Amino acid sequence: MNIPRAQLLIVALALAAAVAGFVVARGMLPAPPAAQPELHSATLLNAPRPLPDFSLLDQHGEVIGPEVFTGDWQLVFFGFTNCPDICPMTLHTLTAVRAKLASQGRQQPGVVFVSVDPERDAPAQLADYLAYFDTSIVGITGDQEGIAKFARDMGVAVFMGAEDDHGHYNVDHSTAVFLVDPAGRLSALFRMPHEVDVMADEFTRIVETRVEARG
Amino acid sequence: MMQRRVLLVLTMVAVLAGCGMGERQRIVIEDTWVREAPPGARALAGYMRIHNHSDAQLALLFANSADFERVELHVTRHDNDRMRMEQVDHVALLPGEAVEFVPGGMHLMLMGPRRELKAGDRVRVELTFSDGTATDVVFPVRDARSSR
Ligand SMILES: [Cu+2]
Repeated sequence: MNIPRAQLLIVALALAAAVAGFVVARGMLPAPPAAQPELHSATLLNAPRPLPDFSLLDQHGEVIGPEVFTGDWQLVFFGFTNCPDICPMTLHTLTAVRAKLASQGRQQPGVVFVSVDPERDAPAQLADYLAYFDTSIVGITGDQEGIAKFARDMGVAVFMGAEDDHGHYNVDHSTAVFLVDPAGRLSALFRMPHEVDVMADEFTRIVETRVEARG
Repeated sequence: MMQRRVLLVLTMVAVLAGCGMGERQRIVIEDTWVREAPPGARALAGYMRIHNHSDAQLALLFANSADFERVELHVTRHDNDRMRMEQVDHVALLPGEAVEFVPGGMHLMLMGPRRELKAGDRVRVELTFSDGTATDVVFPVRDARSSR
């Protein structure tokens, strides 16, 4: 093994430059916020993002806009009523999260279900479906274009599957559950798997952190 | 609990009958259930565990039920938070192994219910395997709000 001196020097210089670059970069990065809760299921957004303006329908056929998201924390999930596997499972989980928090006397979020299949999920259909889980759930439907834009603005990709010869089709959608703060800003998202205890605890920790940050 | 025991036995009897008496059970199906559809939903999901006790690789090819217009074999796939249900044309059953149909994974996609199915009802599904056998399996319907 005979490495020329010049080559060694280059390697040494490159290393020194990399270390220097790292140190400089660290120095320039904003300091991490003081009290970030340790989270496993949830991902906090660095800065809460205001939701876009929209005009859609709730499950009672009333026109609704961003104001439905103000006042309380909300867990938002995208799905459709003909989705028999993930959607009922997730809706059950979210109502169980609420029940768990209520039983412990802790603050509970509302639940909002956004249909990514508004063509088939007319308000009346959505109303029956959601009431099965919890009458407090807010359903959002409307026109395909409006829903697609709302989903896009939330960062949710929606793909309509091709219709088969029986007229059946599926809609691919995000499995993330979004947390919107009482000011109507997207604040965190919960990825799969959605476990009741973990979500309830992390919800509480996020809410507490936000209250501390303001106070 | 007791009820589940009885159902399990019924399921095993059904499988035995399908294979012919006296023959060793090649396929055993247990923990069958169908999630009750919330009002208005036109698709339900069925779950189970299939054991292949034989030395041969088998496959589940079809599922049929008089209670539905159509039954498909589906798998739910996740990538980057995106969820997609995909139809598969068979489910491989490796010798000595079990395949789980569970929420968020493999499921029977039961489409177009022909009667209203409520928790406590039973659905009969005929499963057809690659060795030519077909078995009638009972799936109890469970409330979608029970924790499982
Ligand atoms: Cu499916």
